[in-house]
This record gives sequence, C-alpha cells and structure tokens, in this order.
Amino acid sequence: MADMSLFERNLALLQSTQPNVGRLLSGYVPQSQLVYDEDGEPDVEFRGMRLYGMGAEKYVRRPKTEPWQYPHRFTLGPPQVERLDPQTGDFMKRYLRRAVDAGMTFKTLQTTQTAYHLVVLGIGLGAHINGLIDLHQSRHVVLVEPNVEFLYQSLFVFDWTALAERCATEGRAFNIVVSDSPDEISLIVRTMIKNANAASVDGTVVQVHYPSPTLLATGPELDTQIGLMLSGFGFMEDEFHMISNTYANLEDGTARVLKWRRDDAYPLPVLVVGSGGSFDESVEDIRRLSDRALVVSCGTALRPMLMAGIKPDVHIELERDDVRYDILSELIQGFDVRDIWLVGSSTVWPEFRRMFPKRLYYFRPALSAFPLFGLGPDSGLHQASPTVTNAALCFAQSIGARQIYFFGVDMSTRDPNRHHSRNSWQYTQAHEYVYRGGWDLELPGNFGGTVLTNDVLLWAHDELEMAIRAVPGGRKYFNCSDGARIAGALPKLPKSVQLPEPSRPKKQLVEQLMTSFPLYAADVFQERWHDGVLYRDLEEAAVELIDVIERHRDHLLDLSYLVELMADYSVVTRQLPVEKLVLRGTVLMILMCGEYFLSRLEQVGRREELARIMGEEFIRSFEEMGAQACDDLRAMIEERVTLSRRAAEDA
Amino acid sequence: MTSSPDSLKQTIEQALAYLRTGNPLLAINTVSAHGDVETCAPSCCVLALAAYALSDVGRCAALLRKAHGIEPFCRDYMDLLAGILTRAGRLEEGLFFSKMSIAGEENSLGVDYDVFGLSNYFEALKNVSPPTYYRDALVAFLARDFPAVLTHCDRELSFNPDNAPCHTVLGLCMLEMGDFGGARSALQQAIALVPGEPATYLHLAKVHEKCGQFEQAAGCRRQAARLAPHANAIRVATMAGLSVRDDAEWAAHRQALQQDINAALVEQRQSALPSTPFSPAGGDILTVGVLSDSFYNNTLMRLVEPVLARLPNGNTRLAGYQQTPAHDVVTVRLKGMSANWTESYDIDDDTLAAIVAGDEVDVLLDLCGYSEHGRLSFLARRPAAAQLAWLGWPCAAGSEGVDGVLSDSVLAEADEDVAGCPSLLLDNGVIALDPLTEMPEVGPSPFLANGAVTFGTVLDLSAIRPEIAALWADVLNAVPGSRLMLGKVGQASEELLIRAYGLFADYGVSERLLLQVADEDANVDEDFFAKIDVFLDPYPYSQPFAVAQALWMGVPALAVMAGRRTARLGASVLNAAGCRNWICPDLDSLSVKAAMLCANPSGLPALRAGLRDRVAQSSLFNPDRVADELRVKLRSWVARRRTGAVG
Repeated sequence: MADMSLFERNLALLQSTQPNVGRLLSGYVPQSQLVYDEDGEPDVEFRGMRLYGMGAEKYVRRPKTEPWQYPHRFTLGPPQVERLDPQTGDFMKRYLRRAVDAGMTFKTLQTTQTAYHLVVLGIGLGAHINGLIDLHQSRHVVLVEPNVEFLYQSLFVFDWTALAERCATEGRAFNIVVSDSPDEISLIVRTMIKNANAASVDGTVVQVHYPSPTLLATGPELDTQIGLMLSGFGFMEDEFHMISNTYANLEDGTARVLKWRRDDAYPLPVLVVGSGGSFDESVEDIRRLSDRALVVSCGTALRPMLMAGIKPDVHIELERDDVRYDILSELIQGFDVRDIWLVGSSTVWPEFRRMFPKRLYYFRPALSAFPLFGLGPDSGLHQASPTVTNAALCFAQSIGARQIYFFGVDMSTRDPNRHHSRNSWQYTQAHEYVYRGGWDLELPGNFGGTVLTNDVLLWAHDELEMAIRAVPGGRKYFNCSDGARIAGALPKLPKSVQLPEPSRPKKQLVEQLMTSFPLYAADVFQERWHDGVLYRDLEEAAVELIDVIERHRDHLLDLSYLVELMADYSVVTRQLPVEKLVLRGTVLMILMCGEYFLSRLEQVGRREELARIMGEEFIRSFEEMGAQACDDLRAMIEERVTLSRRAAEDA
Repeated sequence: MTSSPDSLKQTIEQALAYLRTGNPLLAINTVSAHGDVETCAPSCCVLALAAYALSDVGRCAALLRKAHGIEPFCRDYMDLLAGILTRAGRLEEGLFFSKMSIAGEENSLGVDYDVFGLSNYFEALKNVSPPTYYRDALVAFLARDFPAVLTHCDRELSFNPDNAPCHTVLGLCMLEMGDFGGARSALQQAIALVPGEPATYLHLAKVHEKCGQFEQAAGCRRQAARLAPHANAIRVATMAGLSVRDDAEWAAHRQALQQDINAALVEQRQSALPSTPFSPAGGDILTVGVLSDSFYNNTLMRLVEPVLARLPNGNTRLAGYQQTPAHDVVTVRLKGMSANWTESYDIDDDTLAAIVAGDEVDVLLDLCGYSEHGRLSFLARRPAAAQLAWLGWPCAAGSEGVDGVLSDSVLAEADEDVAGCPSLLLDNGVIALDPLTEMPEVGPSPFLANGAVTFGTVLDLSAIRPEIAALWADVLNAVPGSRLMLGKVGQASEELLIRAYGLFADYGVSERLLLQVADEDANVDEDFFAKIDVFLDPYPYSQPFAVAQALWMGVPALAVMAGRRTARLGASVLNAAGCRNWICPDLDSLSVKAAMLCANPSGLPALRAGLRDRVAQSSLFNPDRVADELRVKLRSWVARRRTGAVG
C-alpha cells in the first residue's frame, strides 16, 4: 500500500522548503517497514517492534491514560506595570481600565485553546498534525522528530504537500526539526519561537505524540527556557540611550573600533576574569598566570583585581547607564588605570573616556546602534550580552584567541550570601548591594553538585554557551570557576592550569593587538548618521504599525495581524532596519500584554469586544510612540555629546 | 567508446554547466558516459572539479594530477592544482604549479574550467584552509559513527597518505567494524610511517587477538613496552589483553602486573593536587556515582541500566560520569534519572576528583575497569568515600583506590583471588534485566524437527582456543548425534572460520559444527535461539547477556563456575535466574551436565515451554529486587568505609 507518487511529491516538497530535512531523507535507507491493520491504517515496524501497536488514526483517537498525552502550555506570570517600559505600562493601564470598566474579568490560565506557536514532539506517521492545528489554530508549528526512520515512513502515508498548501492558504508556517538530543531540540525550538514571534510565547502548546525518552525529556527542558525566549529585546527608551551614547562616543573620530581577526591566531591565551564568588579562591592562580596571558577584567572584577595587585590588560564594559561609571570611578580611586585598554560597547556611558583614554568600542548587533553606526558584521560581537562576561568572551574570540580560560565566571552562586568577590562593589559599605531577585533556579556546578542562579544569569550562561558553539573549532575553552558548568568549556581547577612563556614580551603583544584596530573616522560617522534621517524613519514606522492594526481591527482574534507584523519585526531572515530595532522591544511588549489578557478573558463570549478595545489601544500607543520619539532622542543626543566632550577635555 | 574532439568539447561544456548549477553528480555521469576517463585529461579535470564540489579535496587533487600527467603542458590544470593545493595548505606544491603554469599552454578544447574561481593563485593564498577530514574522522570515531569515519579517512588519506594518526583511526574503526584484515593493514601502515608510537602496537595487538594470533599480539605488546617501559597505560592495556588469555597465563602475569600498575598509580597520586577529603559523617542521602565508557545501547548497559534506573529514590540519587562521547537514547534516559551528569572523558584527574567530591558521591561504581577509557589514576585519588568495581573487562578490582567489588556467591571465590579486594556480596545477583520484550514468543523445540540436540554458543571466534574446542568436543561426544551451532558469525573472517574448523577437527567433531546462517531480513538473535536446544556459555570469556537471552527464549544454558571473574558471569546469571543446577563447578563437569540435561531429550520441549515463566519470576528479571538490595548494602558499605571498617 506504499504510495510512491506521494513519497516523491513529499520528498520534493521537503527538499525545496526544508532543505536540511530534504537532504537527510533523500539518500536515506530505511531499516523499518510500514505495516497496515485490518482497516488499512499504517504503523511502523522495526525489528518486530511497532511504533503505535495499532493503526495511526486509531492511535491519535485513543483515550488519554497517561499524563504525557495531555498538551502542556507555556504560562507566563501576569505582566507588572513597574517592570514594563513607560509606553507599555501606559498601554496596559488604559487597556485594563477599559476592560474592567466594561465588567470583564480574567482567569489565571488561558481560557482559549488558541495558541500562536504549536510544538509537536514526535511526527511519527503524521496523522495527528492537522487535528492539532485545527484545535489550536496555530500560526507557527514546529514539528520535532528524533527518529528519522518515522519521518521517512511518513512520506508514504501523510500528505506533506497538502499540509504545506493548507499552511500557505491559511497564513501558517511549519518547520521540521530532526534531532535526538533534548538539549539540541530545545535550543532549536526556542530559537525558532523567539525569532518567529516572541510576543506570543505565552500560551504556546507543547504536545508529545509518542513517549520516547528524548521527547519526554525535551518537554521539561523547553519549560526551563521560556524566559530565554523573551530576553534581549530591549525597549524604545533603552534604544534611545544606546544611540545617544554611541553618537557621543564616536562623533569626534578618536576612538578605535573592533574588527574581527577571523583568520589570525592570537599568540597569547586569554584569561576572562569575572567577579563571581569563586574569584577569591582563584586569585593566586590568576596572579601566577597573568604574565603569560592577556588578562581581561569584566566590569566589577576590576576593583578586586586591582586590590589583589593584578592589573588587567583590558577592561570590558557593557552597560549604558551612568551608575556603572559613577561606582567604578569612585571605587578605583588611588589606582592608576590609564594604561588599561577599555573595550566597551559603543553604547557605554560617554564619561568612561575620562578614566580610560585608550578606548576600543565594539557594536552589539541586536541593538539599533549597530545598523546605524556599525561597520559591517566584523565590527559586531554577537552574544555579547547580557553581562560583561559575555562581552569578554566574544572579545577574546574576535581577536583570534585559541585558548580562553574563565576565572570567577560563576553565573551563579553556591551561597546566596556570597554571590560576588568580597572586594567587589557589591560588598563595599558605600554601595552595599541587596539582591532583590531570588536565587531560585539551579544549574549543574562546574566542580560538581548544583549551583543557584537567577533569570538574568541563566540568560547570560546560555549566551556564553551559544557563543562557544557559534565560533568554529580550533579554540579551546576552560572553565576554572567554581560556578555553573558551561557547555563547551572544559572544567579545570585553577591550580591545574599551566601556561607557556610568551614568545615575545607580553606588553608588546597586547599593544600590537590593540593598536591594530582601526580608528572610527569623523567622516565615516557623518556618512552613517546621514543628517538624522532616522527621525523621519521612526515616524514612518509608527504609521506603518497603525496601518496594520487598522486593516485587521475586525478580525484580531484570528492572529493574522501578528503574522503580518512579525513579517516586519521578526528576525528570521534579515537584519532589521534601525527604526524597527528601536521600536521592536516596546512593540513586542505591548502586543504581548494585549494578547496575555485577551487569552484569559473569563467571559469567553466577549472576546471580540475585548479585541476591539485592544486594537484601539494598540493604535493609541503607536501614535504616541511616533510623536514622542524624535524629540526625546534629539534631546538625549545633545546631552550625551556635551558630557563626552567635557570628559575628553578632563582626560 | 571513443569520441571526436567536437563531441568531447560538447560533453565537457555540458558537464561544466552542470557544475556551475550545483549538480556535480550529473557532471560525473555526463563525462563517465562519454568515454574512458582514465586516459582523457579534460574528463579527469571535470571529475576533479566534481570531487571539489563534493568536498573531497584529496580526490580533486589526485584527479588534477592525473589530468596534468596526461597533458603536462596544459596551463588550466596547473592553475587549478596551484589553487587547490595552496588552499589546502600545501604551499610549496601550490607555488610550484603556479610557477610552472607561466610556461603552460591553453587547453586544447578552449573551454573555461575555472567554474569555482579556484585558478586565482593570489586569492588562494588569502584563503588557505587545510582540510579538516582527519579531525572530522576522529570526532566521528569517538561518537561511534563508523561509516562517517571511513569516508573522512578516505578523503584525508587520498590527499595526505602519510598521515599516520589517520591510518591509526582508520584501523581502529575497521577493528570496531569487524574488518580485521583492513584494520591490520591500516595499523601496519601507521607503524611504517611512525615506528616509535607505542599505542599503535597496542592497537595492532588487539587486532591480532581478534584473529586468534596471540603470539603476534604478545609481540606487539612487548614492542609497546620496549618503546615506553615506564608508561602505565601500556601496562593497563596489557592487563586488558590478558583478560582474553587462558587462566594459566592470567594467573602467571596478573599479580606482578597489578603491583607495577598500583605502584605507578601511587606515584602519580603523590604529584596530584590535594583533593577535598570526604566527610566522615556523610548525609542522609546516598549518592551513587557510576563511571562508565558504555552509557549507550550495548549489552553491558542492558545488564546494568535496569538496576541503575531503580536505584534513585527519596534517599538515594545517581551521578553519572561518561567516559566516551558516544550517546544515544540510553544516554538520554540515564541522564534523565541522574541528579548529576558529567561528560568526564576530557577532564583531568584532579578536576574530575573535585567534581566527584562536589557531587558528594558516597560510593563510586566503576564500569570501565582496564579498558582504553578507564580512569585508574583518577580512582587512585579516592575522590569518593567508597569505590567499588562492578563490571569491565577485566573489572578494576585490586587496583589502587578500589575498595571492593560487587559480587555474589558465584563470583566471590574468583574475586577473593584478587588480593586485598573484599567483596560486597549481593544475594540477588550483580545484574538484572527488564523483560526482553523485543524477543518473540518462545517457539517450538528444534529437537522435535531435527531429532537431535543442537547446542549453541555465541562468541568471538578468535577466543576459541584448543582447550575450549576440546571441552566442547567432550560435550558433543557425551550427547550422541548432537551438533554445536556457532551463532552470529556472519561477519567473521574466512581466516577465523577456517581456524575454528581446524581446532574442532583436531578433536574429530568438525562435522558436527554448524554456523548460524540467518535470512537477511531475520533478527539474528531470534533466529539463533529458535535453532538451538541448549546454550553453552563460552569460556573463559563469558557472555552473560546471551545467557539471559537464552533463558528468556526457553533455552536452558550451561555455564562454568571456574577460573576468574570474566569467566563466571554466565554462571552468575544462572544463579540469579534460579537455575543453579545448570552451573558446572569445573570444566570437566560440563560434559556430564550436558549429558544429564539431554539424557531425556524428549523432555526438552516441555522445559523450553515453561522456562520463560520460571525465570521471569527470578531476581534476574526483577531489577527492583536487585536495586533494593544494592541500595541497602551500598549504604552499609559506605558507613563501614567511613569508619574505616573496610578497605
């Protein structure tokens, strides 16, 4: 009963639409065979074992007797006004006020089956796929199969071309993931969801099709990564700061900017030194090794290093605000840091130049300052956030370091009362720091056991792992920190690290490297700024947003407006233009808040009514954003340039 | 087929057009269909470009050299060679062809071969990037993706035939795949290129052992020892090699070797970083660490995973230390049930000891023993409060830092033989299996169809020694008309089969020897157990999983309880299955037991029909029972160890 014409049609489709999967299947030699029951329903038999033990349709219709057969939904906590940016906060207040005034109430969990993202763990013979799309009306479907054998056999019995046609007609998209590693599947699925539409993470449905160990392990793994799907989008005001600081840091043509040294191998190993609690235990080893490596201090690690008599060659900064500058300048008084190179994001506070006359800036590709001022892909550090340690790793990769050692890069703590080095600013009297978040997440410890972490450090940890994975081989990473284990970095006790003598004096190797980076010339700056064309682009982008909502305002419940918006605001296929990067974070948050409450409306019959309110409030928020954007940004740029010029004179 | 210049030009242009549009296979078909590519330089050139498109730089260079050999004055071939060789890091050769091409002539067909922009020498100089085939082969080997290893090695060696480490990886891969002739040849090539590398001799020794060439194997080990007289790794490998030799040889060398190994381990420990001492008190939770190079689907894991899966409970947890990167669905399951999991294969001993201490492991169970991926020097650091050998070939009992060995009443006597290594005795056995649901229902007795008893065994044919052939000949002679089927010999080399027949011929029973020939589609295990009446556990290299399979399929099994631990595991399985009466106390009793079992062959069908139900109730197929006992006894052992009462 195998249908060769169906197989060939399906194969051709997957080869053209999902090339990786198509390649995998085109030369595949199956070891299993299709078998059919008395009703002609297929099953797969592999060495006497059957996938379903009954016909595929019967398997889909069978009663639910096991917990894993039930769908799992991603459920976020309610958005809190104090943790939102001003635009989103205003939107939410107005939106909820109108809803409450109209007598609407909300449940804790979703009251509708609709889910923008549907993750199907197990393709098997595919008989369940259309039914799940019908049930959840999903716009983005991720189909995961750990066993290529089943996917291959599905080509004979499931009409993939019909699924593709259906999706095209109805404005849906599907992707196939083939992997037998829960970690890898989670990473791919997470990235797909984040890139396709982060605003709709809440409510995502995860359905296991058959209970393989890989699929059963993937569900909980995905659950731990929900936060990571929402991270890193920033918000409008944040982007204004980024652009203003970059403007001020680069406008006078005196700073150097990073350029990846992709083909060069840097002759020194790099020590990336963070200020985690384990710094104190490894300080003697850092000192012992510091003459044989390029030593990079990460943000708050500078003070404990200087106090321990270790002067780093390079100091990394990442954050845009003035607080970091104020604290650092106060705490390192008495230490001469003028010969340390500052390697900072182009977005760091402009006054840092007062402290560090030797400056090298890198761009962060996820921020609007990158397409606006960046000098192409080689001037950016991907995965260089959210912490300064992430930036330090990427810097080490960019200079061609072949051996990278992490010290004090804990990304966690074993004791919540000792989360940083004892000499870091967090434990100084003047700045005594009380961490208000919880240490409520666990990660495997680098030197055994488990360690405690939080949302931000988990994100930072994940980005470290992504960065290691992203840069091709030939590099070795060693984690000498008594913190979280980092995939791709070999655990190594600090005392066991031995480094060879450098071939030339270390200082010479450092200066040669840093002065090899180009200056950001003033004429290049003027060319990129282009007389402030950004102001006009921002206004136009807000108008486009309003236009989309206007066109869909009568059918917002079918989520097609999100599909259209995401064509402009998702990053699946391209680098977003500057103005969209500026608006993206706030737009996503506003959309997310709107959908969050819409999907929890207790009076299900009034969903149309609430959707109308939501649409009207979307429009109002986007109008306000367009109106205020230009004035705010202009004023901020002027202020930062003044600060920067004054700092330059002082220096 | 020959062709005119015009038609050749047409063919070449068509093939080049296919290459430009990303269809190298069509390009290959086109030139292959046209005529003899061996003597046609343009065809060789197209094939070279197709090889480049298929990421095979070595073949590309070889085919371009061939084209250059046929038409030595053609500038196009020299330009391409200069570009390819330079890009691949062969700078001197690249420069040579680049210089040569200045005096070259245009190709006779007037076609443009440079479809990939390879001819620009200066561009090539900017893009030097040596091929990564060898590294890819190594990674694939560690992940046990053997077909990929063959492909990568082939590409590397076609480009760089003098890469000795690549020959070694190729040899090891072939050894794993059962191609002993190929393995021997690859390793000999590696030795010819780098004669001073002791590890290569050890690998070659393994190949010789697989071919039953024990003297040659011993010679290779001696050579390795000569090259590195103080290397403990050589001694450890020699110990592993001894495990497949006869009892006399094992007894003669084991103790001295063990002493040397332990002395070196103690010396290494003295230069180690101080490790975290384990707490004398311990906590309420018992953490059981397991160190293994087999955390993937294989027969060893079939025997231990069911027990491991049941160990964790409210006050017991697991920690896994994975000694090879190979992974599959079993790895996923084991990770899922473990509180801590470390891929330990690249981690140095000091750091791994810190990790085990950090995981608060109370008792570490070793499943590596003296294998290539074993961690004896790490165990010698004593990172856990208690450290016990479990399985491995041979297991690590007696090694420095190992306090004891998991044992049962069958294994205990052999374990006591290992000086200074006490046993932790388990009443329910040291292994257990889940029901073998992948196996079919018990079938009819083959005796009914054959009218004669068919014995069967499964073993590495290289392990058959004259004394074993004599032993089994006695069994056959004790049961008139019986035959012996050697199972799963489909991949055995002709050389080994001839040797096996020869050995049995010496005892007059070669006519009664059968080789299992299964249909292509058939499951080899199912087929084998359906064809035999009685299973004989091989000696001295027992096959405990096969014994368990036999019992599950209704086939009674005979195993010898003699010699060392590796020879007794089959008997241990029978003990756990409640089939103690089939254990032979010594070698001589094997034929007696066989004769008794088959004295009334018409009883064999009834025995077969009821055996599965019987063993299903036993400890062998009751991992809960085994895990419960293991948990309690490990806790008690750890407590005694902490107080210094054992070890």
